[in-house]
Amino acid sequence: MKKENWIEDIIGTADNIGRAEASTDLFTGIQSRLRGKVVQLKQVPARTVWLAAASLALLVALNFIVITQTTRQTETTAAAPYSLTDSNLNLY
Amino acid sequence: MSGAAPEILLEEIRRGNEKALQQLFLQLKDTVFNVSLGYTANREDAEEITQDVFVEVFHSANSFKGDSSVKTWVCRIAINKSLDYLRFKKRKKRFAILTSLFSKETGEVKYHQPDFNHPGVTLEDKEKAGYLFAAIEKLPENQRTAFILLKMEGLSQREAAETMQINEKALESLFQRAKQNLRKELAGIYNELK
Repeated sequence: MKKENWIEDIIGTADNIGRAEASTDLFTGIQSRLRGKVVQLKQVPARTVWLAAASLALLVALNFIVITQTTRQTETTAAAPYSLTDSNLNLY
Repeated sequence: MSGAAPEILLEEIRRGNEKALQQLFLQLKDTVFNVSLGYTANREDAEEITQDVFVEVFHSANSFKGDSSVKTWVCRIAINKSLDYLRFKKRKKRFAILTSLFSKETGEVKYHQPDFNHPGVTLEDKEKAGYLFAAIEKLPENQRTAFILLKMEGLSQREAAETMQINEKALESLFQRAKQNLRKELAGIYNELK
């Protein structure tokens, strides 16, 4: 019985909890967080973004060209010994 | 604009009007703060969450569809932010759980949350409220939300159900289960104390 009363007493504490008031100063923090984000966005101008995108595209294109050329060269070098053998065989 | 309805203020916030955000903040700050306090029982944490909520309101004003009141929508953001904050804190404390459960001096189990600092609790009720919040912390998230909204925030059944996006019958069931589980938790605490 004592235990039950204690439990009900603790649950009843919820009714005694007063409504707390939030400080109006909190809005200053909200404003600075909002401004912080805006400043961050302003720090990267559109021109820089386009320049970075163009550089990246150029880098990808150059890589593509180099890789394709290297592959072609490798194929040519790999095919060469057979043709030499063929021509050698023709000599005999 | 000071007495403007939240719906009108939100329309202005959509256009990036910070003055309208300030007005909405003044209208709803105590609701958001008290909901957050229900979860965290700590003034500093609740203040942090309150700020997060209004920053989110500013950035997500366009996503408000108008299918509930602005107050309900803001309240929902407060609940989600509070739960996110608690999950984040839980992750941080995961490795320290064992050490924080036991006091160094006696080895006895501690039931008071170490950072319990609820401004709405009087000094004489502080100990009891500490036990209550320790038990609330153990409840599943939806039961905890039902208990906080109905019992602590004093919302009506309809408002709380709308905030949780469930029907009133489901809310009542969650609330009853929350009370049952609280009794179980508190019984455990009572046995440890005696």
